Amino acid sequence: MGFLDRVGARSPWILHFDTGSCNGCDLEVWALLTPRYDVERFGGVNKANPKQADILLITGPVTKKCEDRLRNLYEQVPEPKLVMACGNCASTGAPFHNCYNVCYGVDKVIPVDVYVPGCAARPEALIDGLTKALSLWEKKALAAKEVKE
Amino acid sequence: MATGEVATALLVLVPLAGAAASLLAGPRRLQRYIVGGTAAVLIIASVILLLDMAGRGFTALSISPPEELSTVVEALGIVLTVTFLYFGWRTRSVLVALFSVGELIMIGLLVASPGSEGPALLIDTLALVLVLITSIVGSLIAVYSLTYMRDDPRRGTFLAVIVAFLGVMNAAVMCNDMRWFEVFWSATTLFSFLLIGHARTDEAKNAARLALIINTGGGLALLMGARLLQYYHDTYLLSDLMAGGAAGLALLPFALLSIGAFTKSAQLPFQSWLLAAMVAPTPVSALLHSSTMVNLGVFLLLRIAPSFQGDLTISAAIALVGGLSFLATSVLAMTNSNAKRVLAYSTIGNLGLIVMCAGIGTPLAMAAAMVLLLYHAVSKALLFLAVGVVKEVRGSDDIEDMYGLRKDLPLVTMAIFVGIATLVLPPFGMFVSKWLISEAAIVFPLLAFLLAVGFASIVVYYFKWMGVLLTSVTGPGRPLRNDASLRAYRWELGALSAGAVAISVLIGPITHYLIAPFVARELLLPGLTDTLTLFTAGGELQAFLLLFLAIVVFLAARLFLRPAGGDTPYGGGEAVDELQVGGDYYLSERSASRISRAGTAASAVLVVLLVVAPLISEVL
Amino acid sequence: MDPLVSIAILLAGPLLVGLSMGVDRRITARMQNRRGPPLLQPFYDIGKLFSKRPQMLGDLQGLFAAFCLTFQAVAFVLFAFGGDLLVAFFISSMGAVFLVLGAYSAPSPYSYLGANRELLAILAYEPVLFLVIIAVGINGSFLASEAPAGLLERIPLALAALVPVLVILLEKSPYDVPTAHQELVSGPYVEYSGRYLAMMELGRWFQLAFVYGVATLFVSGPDPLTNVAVKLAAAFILLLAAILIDNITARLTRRRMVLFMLTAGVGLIALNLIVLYASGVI
Repeated sequence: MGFLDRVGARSPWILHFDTGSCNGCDLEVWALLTPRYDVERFGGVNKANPKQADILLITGPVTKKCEDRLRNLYEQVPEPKLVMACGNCASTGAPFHNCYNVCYGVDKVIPVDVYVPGCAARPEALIDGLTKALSLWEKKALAAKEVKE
Repeated sequence: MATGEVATALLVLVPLAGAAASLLAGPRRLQRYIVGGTAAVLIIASVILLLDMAGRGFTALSISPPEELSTVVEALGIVLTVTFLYFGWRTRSVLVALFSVGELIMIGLLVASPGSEGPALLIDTLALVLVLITSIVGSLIAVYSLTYMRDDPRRGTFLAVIVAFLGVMNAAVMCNDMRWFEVFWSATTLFSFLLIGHARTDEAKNAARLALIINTGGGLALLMGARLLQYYHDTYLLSDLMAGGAAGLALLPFALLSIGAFTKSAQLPFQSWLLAAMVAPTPVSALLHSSTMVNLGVFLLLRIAPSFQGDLTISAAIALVGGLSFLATSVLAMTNSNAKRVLAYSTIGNLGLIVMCAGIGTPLAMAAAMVLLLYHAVSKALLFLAVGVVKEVRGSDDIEDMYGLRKDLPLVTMAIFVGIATLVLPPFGMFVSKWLISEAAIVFPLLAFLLAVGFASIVVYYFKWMGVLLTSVTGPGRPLRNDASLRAYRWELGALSAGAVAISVLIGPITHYLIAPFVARELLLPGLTDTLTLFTAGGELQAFLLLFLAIVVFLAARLFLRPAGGDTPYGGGEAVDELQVGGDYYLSERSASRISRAGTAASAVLVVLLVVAPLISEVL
Repeated sequence: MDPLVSIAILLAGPLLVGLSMGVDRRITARMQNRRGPPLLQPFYDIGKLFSKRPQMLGDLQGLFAAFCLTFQAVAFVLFAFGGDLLVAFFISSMGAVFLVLGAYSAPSPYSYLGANRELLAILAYEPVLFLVIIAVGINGSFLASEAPAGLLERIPLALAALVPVLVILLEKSPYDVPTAHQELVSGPYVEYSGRYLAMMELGRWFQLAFVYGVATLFVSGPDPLTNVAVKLAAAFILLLAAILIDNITARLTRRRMVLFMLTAGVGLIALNLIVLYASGVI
């Protein structure tokens, strides 16, 4: 099974979820799919479906309204899975860090594997984060298998 | 008397006696014994007949009944026609009155012109197949109706008619003499009329009246055909007809007989009565209007098919009527949400395919027609009975009321699945006929176009329905043995499902022993060529097919034995608590009725052509 | 047919289809001025799906996925061993039906809509594919092993009619109606994940292998090497046409899809057969 686990890192299917972002980071995430940054070079495809996704790209500070939705989506992504918090808001809550209606970052709701800073996070940084996340894939796959057993 | 003759007599007389007894019997328990006993005798007698035929290598069995009996049958014919006249007066239908007066005149002419003498009864494998269907499937349906009609105040009459019908149907398919055949044919018309009108509501009365009008009209066509058969071919015996060779006016009797067959088998343009007849209680729809009585029409067509093969116009017109009926009803079934109506459309469509095969008339097509006749009857009866159970439990036979049926009626769902699978899915019998028909249709490519769209439509309407049964299952369902329906139903559905699968497994022997002899009687079966490997008793495809079937059955069993459960569905991040869905029926009522009218008009033209063509070719 | 050749076809068929999916993604990317994924990307995807832990709504779905794969594989086995094209077609079309049933059996709104649309897609492409096979049969034999030579000259329009069929089967616009990425997420596949999604995908590969296989019957070369080359070229040209159509059109409605296939698709074959009959070839 080692081979299959390694292969997984070559086919990251992406689920992008906006948890209350200003759309700055969203535009940069979409830029990933355009000719200039073409994330499909790494096999990355935007699947828009948690059941078939491997990597959650999350933008925005996670508003209270989004909290349950985010958790729902996260639970629907099958193991092994990776979570990327894209941008400052998603990482820490940033300017919204003491707002009454915000959870202050993705990691307050679900476990995060990679943080990509920036306001907005640049596509180069996102690609960097993606490769970083994929390097964690094999470990994740093994961990998922242990849980199963 | 020989074994075969005893069995034949039992097959006809026991049901008639049973009918009389259940008419007189008051208590429900007594009725149960009578109907159950009749059913048991019928099943045993039909199996004895099968064994007897097998013992003689499946050669046809001719029986010449005593002379007095033909007088009785003739008298019965007159009594039936007078009854039609009475019902014509009762229902204020001028047409029925006209038709029955016409029938009386024709009967007079028939009596006045005796034809060649010969055996009045002929049991070949085609008749045997129909006897087996009527006696086994029909008996199961009769037993089913004991439970289904348990609270009906006029249960006794209903059961009597159902049981008597079995005997009459058995008699009809064994007839060789057109004069006899016509009498039993009329008897089925009468029983159909009585059963459709059983509920005595306005809707039921109108439906019964419509059925009576169209079927007495068909009966008149049949009688005229019989008279002309004697005039042009000097015989009333179907077995005396020559294959091919008829030309000009000599074809007219076949055209008229075909029109009679179209009315009985509810082909376009005569389909309206069968659709209206769906108001009858479900066992009636299952018995008369899908698996047995409507087969009489195509039975007659298959009998006379070799005789009209010489003429291209007649055979093409008949094939096209069948093809059009198939296409139009398949498309209309997609637009309908009532399960019984969908099944009725599908019945007309399948009979249309048989008519088409009779029109094509090649050995391959005839074999396909017989496969279709047998497998359709069993599967369709199963589907109707299952829908009846659903109606009793859920109070509706609309497909839109069947969401998530798997949850509370897993066994009924399984029965419907088996019914649909045996009607459509590859490893089962119907698929074989679908394949043979497609290969037979290349002699007349226009038919292939009708088939192409029709086959795809069948898949759509059956699996849309199946999808409804499977949808909306949230939480664990009941296990198979805790089905919410009555125990009696479960036994009958289980028996029919097992039977439908079993005859699919036995497709090799069935085609070899039951179907090949009939096809080879008139036409030369093209041996065991490559495309027909399936037809050898131990064909090479057979092993593959069996294996395939075993896998499918195993998986299907697993599929329904385990309750569903697991993860949450995707709802864009929202929790999906309850799924509310509605079916898609594609066409508005207006465009559906436009299709129906176009199909009816086109086939009406073909039917007129059928009668006019012999006249024209005679003049030219 | 030589059994070794059959086994070679059987093994090469799905692998070539997998490769063609990679080629498809590469060409599409180039058309959009991107670089695109590696050629073997579809195989990586399948491998990954097998390593994921599936999350399903019930085991009914998984069983239907298994049915789907079994039927499609059996259809292609029949084709590879020179069996009857019509039988293979009917078996393959039932594989497609199991995709629909699998989608229906999940209590999910997207999946339900996807299943409804997939049924319409079946209604659209099945008659055309059926008639293409009938057209092949009229010109000789229904057996794949005895396909008559020179089909391309006799029924070129039937080959052309395979293009829209392929567009639907490859889930490409304008007829990617069932999966409709932007409205239905991925239609009938929504509730599938892990190895069950991989089964569905493999089933689709087998189905495509059968359709490409029918297309390869239209051409033949004199010696084995050119024969293989010409057959591959025929399949590739069909794929190229589908990719081109995908990149220059937007999605149409399901009604348009059904109407187009039942008029233009069926009409092409009808026209071809009429010409053949009129010129007395058959």
